[in-house]
Order: sequence, then structure tokens, then C-alpha cells
Amino acid sequence: MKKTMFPYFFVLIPLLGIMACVFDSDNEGVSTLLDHEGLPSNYKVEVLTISDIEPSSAISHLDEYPYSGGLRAVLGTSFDLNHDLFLDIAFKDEDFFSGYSSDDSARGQLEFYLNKDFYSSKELTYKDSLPMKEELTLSYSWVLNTGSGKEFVDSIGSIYDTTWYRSVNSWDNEVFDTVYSVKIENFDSLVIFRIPEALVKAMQEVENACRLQLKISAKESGRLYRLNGSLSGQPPVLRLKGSNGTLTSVSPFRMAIKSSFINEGDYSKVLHGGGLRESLVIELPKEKIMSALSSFYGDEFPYVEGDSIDVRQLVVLAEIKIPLVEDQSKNTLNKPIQMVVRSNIDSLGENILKKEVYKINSDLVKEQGHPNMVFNGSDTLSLQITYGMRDFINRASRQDDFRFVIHLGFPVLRPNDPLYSDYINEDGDSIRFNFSHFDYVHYDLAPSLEQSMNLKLWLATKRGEGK
Amino acid sequence: MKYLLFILGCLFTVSSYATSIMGLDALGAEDVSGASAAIAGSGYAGHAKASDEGVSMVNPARLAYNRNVSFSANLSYQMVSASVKNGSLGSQSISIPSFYLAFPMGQFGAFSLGLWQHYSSNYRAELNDSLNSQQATLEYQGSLSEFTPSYAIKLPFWHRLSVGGTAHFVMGNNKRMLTLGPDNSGVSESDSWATNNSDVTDVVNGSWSILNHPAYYTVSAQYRGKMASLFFSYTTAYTLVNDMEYQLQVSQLDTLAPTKMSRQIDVPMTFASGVSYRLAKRHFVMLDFMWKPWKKAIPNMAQSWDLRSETLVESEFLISAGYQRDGSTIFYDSYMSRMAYRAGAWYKNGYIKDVSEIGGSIGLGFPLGKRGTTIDVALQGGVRSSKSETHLDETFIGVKIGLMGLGSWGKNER
Repeated sequence: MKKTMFPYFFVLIPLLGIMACVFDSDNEGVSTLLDHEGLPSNYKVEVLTISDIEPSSAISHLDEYPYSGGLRAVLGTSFDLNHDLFLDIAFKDEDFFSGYSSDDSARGQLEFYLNKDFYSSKELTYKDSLPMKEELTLSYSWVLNTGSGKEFVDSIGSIYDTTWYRSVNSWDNEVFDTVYSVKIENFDSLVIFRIPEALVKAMQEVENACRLQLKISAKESGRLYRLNGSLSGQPPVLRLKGSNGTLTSVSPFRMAIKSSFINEGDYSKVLHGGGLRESLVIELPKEKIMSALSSFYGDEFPYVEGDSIDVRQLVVLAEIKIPLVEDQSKNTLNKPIQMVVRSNIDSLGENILKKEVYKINSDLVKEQGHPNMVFNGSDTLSLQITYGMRDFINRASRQDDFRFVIHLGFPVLRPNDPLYSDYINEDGDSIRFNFSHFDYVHYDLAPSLEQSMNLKLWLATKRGEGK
Repeated sequence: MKYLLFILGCLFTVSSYATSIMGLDALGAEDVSGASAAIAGSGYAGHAKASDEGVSMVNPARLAYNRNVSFSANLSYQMVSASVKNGSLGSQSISIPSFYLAFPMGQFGAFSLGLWQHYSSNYRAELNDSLNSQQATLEYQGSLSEFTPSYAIKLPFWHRLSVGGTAHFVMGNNKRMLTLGPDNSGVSESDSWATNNSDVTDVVNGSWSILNHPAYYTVSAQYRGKMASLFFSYTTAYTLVNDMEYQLQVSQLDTLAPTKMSRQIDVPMTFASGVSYRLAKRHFVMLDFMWKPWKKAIPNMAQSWDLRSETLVESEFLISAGYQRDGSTIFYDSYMSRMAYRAGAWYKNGYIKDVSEIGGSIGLGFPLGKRGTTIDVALQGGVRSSKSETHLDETFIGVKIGLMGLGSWGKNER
């Protein structure tokens, strides 16, 4: 060994090793420090159950405003809802219209493609499984504007979708009913609706270009047709035919759906799923929760000292259990459906609705299935409201009653699978947790909400030994 | 030289935190004397030694005797070991506690700008004992820094006396994070699923300022004699304000509205004095004294659990004695002769009640080039002991390295 290497190996490195040991910490040392300073070495989990909570308010709301039918469209009825379809079509075909306008045998039809992915699903058997057959009464109404040239057609395309939704929301045009015999053998079948004679005659007035806004309603149907939308790979086609074989075909450049109640009634605690813009807002009484926390900790709730933000404790997890009475509820796909929860929370001084994260209790799921589902044969619905309850207690002195919002999510194919997501199994097969299409249901929570609920809080506290 | 650099290089590869574990919830550890490596080498004595270039935070009047434009930056590496009954508790830290620029302006006096980390509270410790359900990470990150413009001038009618002053503009932040794992021992087995893997963090974030005033001030007078020099300085009292936000949070992206609180710390006036005596050519002995009569207890950072609500204080004083042999300024002398040699010792009664510190140091000044640029290295060691059980005794070793660069702006080259 070189002389100069000697101090490196026999002096410096051992010295550094000794120093690293002397000036380092181990678990015992840090534990002693924390204890000495009055700090904990973990947070003691405390569980508080607040029983017999009766909601101070629960009300659902369905937004009947039109929404996009671009990818998936529905037409018909589902329990107490009717779903109308709107199509916006604009095109120019001067040569065709010159012959079509004087053709006594002119006719036209609308051709829809079925939502193949839904109807071909092997995972489900349900009422609307193929084949389908019914006498269908369709109600048509339309607005036809004529013009000329490419500029006319382009000007229609420049209208925003939101502007169009607003105009079709206040639709009030003459209705023409037509009865069809619909028979669909398989999902490759086209659904073909003849357009009314009055519309054909109106189209014969077109000379160069036109814009046709068409509303189709199947209120009399006892079922829901799931169709491909204008932005799917197989959009609907309006086909106009002349007697001499002339033909023009055009697809709508946008579509909308308007879902609304068929009859007036009390739907204040009913959810319909289907991805509709609807929710049920439930409020729990503040006083009940505050007094339970006050009894538990032995100090004041809500906390009003200083800036009134209470950071003396943190809700690690919160779960509300709602007894389920499902005998008045109906679905079509015969699968459990997830209940999605959102809570009102503060975000940089603004109230926002935040989707709750669902933490999985694996042991429970293996035995009974996920507890956050309806139509699962369970008599209790357990919803986690951690974000909301955490924020509620944090800002208790500034809040009214605790509020959270629920709505129906996707049907679940594997309700007892603790993974709670799609995955590939050991055999390399894709396992789907959810069905990728919504169910349209009638879920009446009124009898359930008449029962009292239980709220369970898992808490971490900053209070010391004396709380 | 190369061995020394090797040791330092190895030391700085070990990075962590802590200059002291004491007073982390109060102000943290105080870096006295402007955190200068040269002063640290002589045991914090030497503020009266007017022949040294550079800036003294304790004695701004000394600045008037600077002859060159100077720049200095200091690097500090500290290792602390606290005395605990079971196990070991220690930590290491590295920081740049100060840097200064000084501009002598001849008959118009001298001006300097500096940044000094006066108090720091940096510490990190992890506890992961799954057998006893203990899982905690404690982290402090705090720096109370001061931006310090100074001015000093020799009296026009008597150049042996100078006066100077420094304004201390306070800035900086502090933070405490305690991340805890769950202890499910108090809940039934069927309920433990809910908190498994759910860590909770208690976070306190604060910022420093001075109440009702932009700064606090130091004024001093320096006498520079042929054999002896001395100074007196006075620093005004002030009230520190620490505005804090604190909360419990699950993660950085999953937080709640924080609560706000503010604490006020009454920092008393400081009196300091020092003398430097030339024993022989280039040989000096120095004695310095500092006194700060703390009265009001310091409220601790956001209190919770069983943390103490305040840190009790006592009169703080520092007595330091040191020796320095200046290096030769003749470039053709041997390198050893051109080096500066320092040694010193100090006794400090810290601001924390019942805590005292005894330390010693040795220092070397390595000249670089002809212009007087030097690297100062100080090795320090000592103990901080507490008479009560409120604080854990500590042993510390530190290395300070300072770079002093000299320029000749405004002067004609000879």
C-alpha cells in the first residue's frame, strides 16, 4: 500500500464511520426525543359513532336541459322518464332537389345504428335484450330553413352547440305522429324510421340548401332504444329518395337528448341513473354532529376562537350508513349500481363539490360485496364522506348543516371483487369491474331516507393527554 | 492541506439537519457574531481587532478601518449529538449562514451589505418502529435571516475613533412538520381497515417580521490604538412577529383551510464590548463580551399535543477569549508564515433558561494569491448542557469555512 493511502484507510475512513454513528439517530433516540418534547410517535385512532341521525333535508333534482347525443343516443322511455332526440342537419344538393321537388313519389327515411357495444354485451340479460319487436308511435316535429350556397351550410356549422341546446330546450313546434312496426333481430340491424309525408313535402320546397332541425319522440314506447350518435363511427343517416332512383344521404352534424318526466309527480327522492345530470342532496343536522363531538372530546364545538378554523382534530375517514328499502325501486340491467358521492368543501375560500374517494374494506367486500352499491341485496348503503366531514368539522363555526350529494354511477359486474377496478387476471384475460353503459332506473330513496342513519368517524387528534 | 480538503469533502457528503435540538419551537439555534468563520476560529473573540478586513455584525464601527473592497461568504457544517438514556440521537447540518460585501470610501467612511442567518431551526428525524406501532417523521426548517446594511466612519478630527451602525431587516420563514402513522390499538379489529396506511401530518408554516418597524439597529464605537483596540456596541430591543398557519393534513394535495395565529417575541437590547491587544508583531489576544437580558418567555410554535406552550428564557451572555497570529503579508515568505493561526474558547449562557454552552475552537487562514484573498477554516467543539430536564444535553462539533475576497476598486495599481 502506498504511504499516502495509509491515512485514508486507517484514519479518515474509520473516523468518518465513528462520526456517522455518534451523530446519527436510531429509533430509540428519536422516540425519546418525541416523548421528551411532548410529541406523539403516532396518532391514536379514535372512533366516534353518531347514531340515529335523521336527515334535515333530502331532495333530488333532475336537470332536464338538453345534453349531447354525439356518441351515445337514447330514444324512448325508461320508467318515469321520456328521452327525446334532436338532430341538426344542414346540407346543399341543388341537382338532387331540382328533381326531388317535382317528384310525386318522393320519400325519405332516417336510419339509425344500434349501440352495438351495449346490445352485444354477453355480461347482461335484461328486458331490452335483442330481438326487439313493437308497434312504435314516433312523433316528429321540425324546423326547416332554406338557403343557398356553401356559405349557408357553413354558417350553420358555426353555431355553438350550447346555443343550439338552448334553442331546442324551448322547442315548441307542430307535431306529426307516425306509427311504425319495429323489429330488430340483431345488433347489426338498422333501425329505420320513415319520415312523415309533411316533412317530405317541406323538403320538396328546398331549391339549393337547407337546415333541418328534427325532434323525434317515442313517448308511447315501453322501452329505450340505445343508438349511435352523430360523432360515433356510425352516425344516423337521413336518406331522401326520388322515384327515378335519385338519392341523397346526409348525417346530422350534431345531436342532443332531452330527458324529462313523462308525468308530473313527486320525484323528490328518486334517482334515475343513466348518466343523467341529476343528484340527491342530503343534509345532516349540524347540532347533532357537534354535540356528539363535544361530548366525545369534552370541549366546545363548533370552535370559535381566533380565526374560527378548527384544526384540533382531523377526520381520517367518515362513513354514513343508510338503511335501504328497495321494494319500490326498479332497474333494467339487473346489476348492482355504484352510488357516487360528492361533498361540499372549501377550496381556497370557494365552496366546491369534490368527489369522495372510496377506501376499500377488503374483508367486508369479500363477504358481502362493496357496501356503496344499490340493487345489491344489502339492507344498508355505506357511503364514505371523508372529505366533506373533514371540511365540515374544520370549518364548523362557519357552516350550516352538513351537506353531501349522491348520484348513481355505472352498473357493477363484479360487486364482490375487492380490486374495484378493471384488471388482467393470471390467465391474461381482461376483467371488467364496471359495465361501461349506464342503467336507466327508478330508484326511490324516500323509504330509506325515512330511516335514521349512523355516522362513524375515524379521528386523529392534536389534543394531548388531557385532550 | 489536501488532507484537510479531503476530510471536509467527506464531511459535506453527509447531509442532514440540525445546529441544535434545543429551542426548535422557540427561535432555534443562534449563530452568533455574524457567523464569520474567521471570528469563529478565535472562539468568537476578535470583533475589536480593527486590522482585520471584513464586516462585524457586533461592531459595525470596525468597518471604517477596512482598506479594501471585500467579499466574504461563510459555510457552516455542524454535527450535534444529544444525550438520551436509550439509543442515540444526533444530526448534521450544512448551511451558508452569511455573506457580506464591504466598500471602503476613504474619507467618506465605509459601507457594507450583508445577509446573516441569525437563528436557524433545522432538524429532521425519522422513527419507524412497526413492532410498537411507532411511525413518525419530525422536520423543522427555519431561518430567521437579516439583511444588514452598515455604515461606519472614522472621526475626521481623530482617526483612532470610529462610529458605525447597522440596520437589521428581518426576514425568513419557519416550518414544522410532524407526520404520524396510525395507532389502531384503541379500535376494534373490524374498524382498523379505515386508517391503515393513512398518515397524518401536522404542518406549521410561518414567516418572520418585526412589529411596527422595518428593522432593528446596532450602533457602535471603535477605538483603534497602537497596541490595544476596543469597542462598545448597543443593539436596540425589538419585537419579532411570527405569523403562522397551521393544520392537520393528509397530504400536500389533501389539505384543509389552515388556521392562522401569530406569536410575538420580545427580543431585548444587546450590549457588547471587546478588546484586542497586540502582544507582539502579528500576535494578538482578544476578549469579547455580549449581554442580552431576556425577560419574557418565548411562546412556542403552534402548540398541540403535550408540547410546552413556551420556552423560558434567561439573561444571555457570551464571554469569549481568543488568540490570533496574523499571516505575513509578504508574498515571498513561506506559506506557513503567511497563514493565520487562531484559537479560542467561549462560555455562553444561551437565551434558553438553564442552558449553557462551553466551547473551544481552532482556526487557520489560508492565503490565496497575492491580493490577500484567504480561506478561513474554523473547527469548533463543545457541549451545551441544561441544568433542568427541560432540554437534552448536547455535544457538538462544527466546521466553518469562509472565503474572503479582496479587491482594489477605486485604487490605482502600484
